[in-house]
Formats: sequence, C-alpha cells, structure tokens
Amino acid sequence: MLRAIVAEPELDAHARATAFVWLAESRPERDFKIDCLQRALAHEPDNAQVQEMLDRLRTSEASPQIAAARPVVIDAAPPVVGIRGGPNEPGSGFFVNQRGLVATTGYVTGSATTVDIGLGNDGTVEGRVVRRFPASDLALIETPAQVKSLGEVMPAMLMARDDLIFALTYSGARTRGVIREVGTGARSQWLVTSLSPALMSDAGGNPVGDAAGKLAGMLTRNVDRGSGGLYALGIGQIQQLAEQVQQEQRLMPDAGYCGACGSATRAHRYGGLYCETCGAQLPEAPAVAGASPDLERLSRLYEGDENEPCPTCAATVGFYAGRCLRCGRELTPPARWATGEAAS
Amino acid sequence: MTGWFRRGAAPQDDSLGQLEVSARAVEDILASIGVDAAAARMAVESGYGWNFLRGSALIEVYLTPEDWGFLQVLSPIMHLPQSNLLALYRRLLELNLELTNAALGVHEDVVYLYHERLLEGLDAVEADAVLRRIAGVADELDDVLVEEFGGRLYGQG
Repeated sequence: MLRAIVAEPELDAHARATAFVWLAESRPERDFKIDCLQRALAHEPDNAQVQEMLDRLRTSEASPQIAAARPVVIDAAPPVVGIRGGPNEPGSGFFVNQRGLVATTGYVTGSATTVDIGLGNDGTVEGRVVRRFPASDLALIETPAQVKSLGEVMPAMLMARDDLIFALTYSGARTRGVIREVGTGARSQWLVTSLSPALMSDAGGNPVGDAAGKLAGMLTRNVDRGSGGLYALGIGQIQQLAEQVQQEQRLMPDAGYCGACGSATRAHRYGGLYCETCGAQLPEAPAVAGASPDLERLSRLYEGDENEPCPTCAATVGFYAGRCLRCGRELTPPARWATGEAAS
Repeated sequence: MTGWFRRGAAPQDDSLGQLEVSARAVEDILASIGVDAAAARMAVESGYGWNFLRGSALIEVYLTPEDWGFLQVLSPIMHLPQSNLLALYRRLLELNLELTNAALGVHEDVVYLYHERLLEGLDAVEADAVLRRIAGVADELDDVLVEEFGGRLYGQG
C-alpha cells in the first residue's frame, strides 16, 4: 500500500518524501532503507531529519548476522541451547521469542560481544550479544535463528514454595529441585531454588521448567546466602526485558552495545570514545579516534549541558546529594532564598 | 583464574619458594580468622587461590607466581547500577582517598575493592592485617553503596 501511495501523482513533494520515510520503516534491510531515504531526500532536499536518518544508516555497519548469515529456521524451539565464547563457558540458554533472541546470564557472556550458540541437531550459529541487564543478571543474544513455535511459560508469580522444578543443561543433564522462596515486591523477579552450584555442571542460564514442563525462568549462579540455593530469574522479567530490547532496536537502529556495562550505546556513532552510560572505552574507539567527533550530539548524549551550572565552578554535569559532581562543593542556595526574598 | 592482573614474566625459583611459604602463611591466617582454608581453596591456573565470605562480602585471595610473585586480595562488591553512575564514580574516588592499603575500582560492570603487593618482604603480620582490612571494609561498604546507589550485591539475586 505504501508503494502505491508513493506512486500517487497527486502528492506534493513533502507528502511523497514522508511516504518514502514510512516505506523505509516497512522493511528491516539496511540497503532498502537507504534507497527509500535517498528517494525521500530527492523530493525534499532540505529535510534535515531525513538527512540525519540517512547519515546514521550510512555510517552504521551492516549487521553481519542479518547480512551474511542465512536464517536457521527451527520448527520447535529446543528446550535448551548451549553458549560458548564467554569468560565462564560453557553455559546454557534458551529462546525467548520467535525472532531467535536467546536468553542466558550475564555471568555466562561477561563482556563478550559475540558467542557461539549450540542448537543441538541444528548445529551452531554465531550470536551477537545485544544487551546485558546486570540488575537481573540477564544477557540477550541475537541469533540468525527463526523459531516457529516456542514452549509454554509459567509466570513466576504463579509458582509457589515447594513446587517441583527441573533445570536443563545443554550437556543433557536434567536436575530436579524445588522452589524454596518466591520473591515479593521489588524482588518479585527472583525465585530461590533448592538447587546448589555443586549440582550444576555449567555456568548457568539453564531454563527452569515446572512439573508440567512449562518454562518458569532461568537459573543463575547467584546464591541465596541464607539457604545456599541458586536464584532463578522469572520468565516474566525475561520476556519484559526482551521486549524492551526489541523496542530499543526499533527506536535506535544504529545503536551499538557496550560490553562493559551491557547498555545500548550510540556514542561511537558520533565519534565518542566512551560509553555514555558507564564511561568505559568502546571497542570501536581506536577506529574512530582520528575522526572529528560530532561534539553537539556527544554533549547531548553525555548530558553535559542539561543541568544548571554550578555556582562555584560553572560545570553543568549536575548535582548529587547537594554537591556539584565536578568540583564537589556544596550547592548553597542564593542569599535571597535564605532571607525569604521571593525568586523572580 | 590466575588473579586479577596477569603478569608476563616467567616465575623465578626464588619466587616459587616464597610462594609456597606465603601460601602456608595465608592458610594459617585464614584459620585464625575462622575460615576453613581447605574449603576456601580455589582451582587457579597458576599459584594459589582462596575465597570465603565475610558478612555479605565475598573475599578472594590470590598468590600469583608471575614476575616476582604477588599477593592479591580483592572483593567484588556490587554490580554497577543502571543510573546515577557519575555520582557513584565520584563517591568511589572520594572513598579511594580515604582508604589505606586498598583501592576501589571498576572492572566490566562490577565494583571491586582491591589490594596488591609484592610477596617479597611480606610477613604473616602484614598479610593478616591486609586480609582483615579488605574483608572488613568490603563487608561495610557493599551494603552502604547498594543502599545509596542501587545496583545488586555481587553474586546475589
């Protein structure tokens, strides 16, 4: 339908350009998007927004997984996949959606940006780590697999103490245990299990199923200090974070991945050397060090100009606990506040 | 794991002798602070390693044969929170200045308390002081930092 709209002879230049921008969004291929945006720009050469989108796409690398790897179509998701290539290999994992996103623990992937995913009879594919969530010890890995059907899930909130569970390891082990505690409130994403580290033969990421075989969560190597049992992350939290990642990818198709903190980063796209979230040096930094950075965009990204200036040092990095984050001096209110003078 | 920083030079005969002496001393010290040294031993690529819990803090001790031999005592404290990192980094730098014989640092997404010194000249009294100090400070700091800045205690859900 969009193709029909862009061909519509009655459209003015702006409307036609807009239609091409929409058409660009209709397909994931980078070359297709570039072609559409070029056409949009041909109709509306002064459109800075389209120009920016085009620049971003041109400077972004073609995703090797999408461009080079042929999709691996899997009828039914294997209950467990293997992960190799992280600092604590081997680990286990499992598919969380039909687009081939695999979940495992952050402990398994560490700061690795690519890992090998073992698919049993379907061989091994390369996976690209797209996000890590340290607070949940979750790492999400993009693979070229397309999964036709996933197994059923059992939300953690429906699990109860003493419920039977099974943890699967890619090596084939099926370890039986029970739920010891279901987290509540801010800890509702966690389940404490009776499984101990000594029972498990790999670094974690094992799918945990209930007695009916429904996926309830993912076993980590985090240990409850009281009982000695391993924590499992509930499937609801995993699905929610997976959806968040997919949404981020739609909104920021040019974002990269910071292996140090697990965040999505765009700093390198603008010539920045450091992750805007954690400040770690980005792997692309040496390659872009010679290029002239886009200081305006970087400043926005690093949030250096979004705060009130410090009265002492004039830095705009912001304040914490009443002190400037640059100079550390206390932020004293202007004298007129102390005297009760109304701020104008 | 060999230890925190890998060192390139081959071990020297003298340092190997010193390493074994130091390993015995560390195990004696661990016993004196109530740690079962045999249970605390870790498999490491070279040298010796132990880990144990002190309160809520995990303490790792390494004796590495690289170069002249090093004692490394470290405690992974917390996973970095998702936000307010600049404030946390500043606080860590401020704390660094207050700490004696230890430093706070960040590796990947984890905040560590860290001490390292050459084995040469190390005696049991000093090793004992270092172990107790790192264990005490780590146990105190981890809860304080997580409570103030969020994040997750290392190795816990």
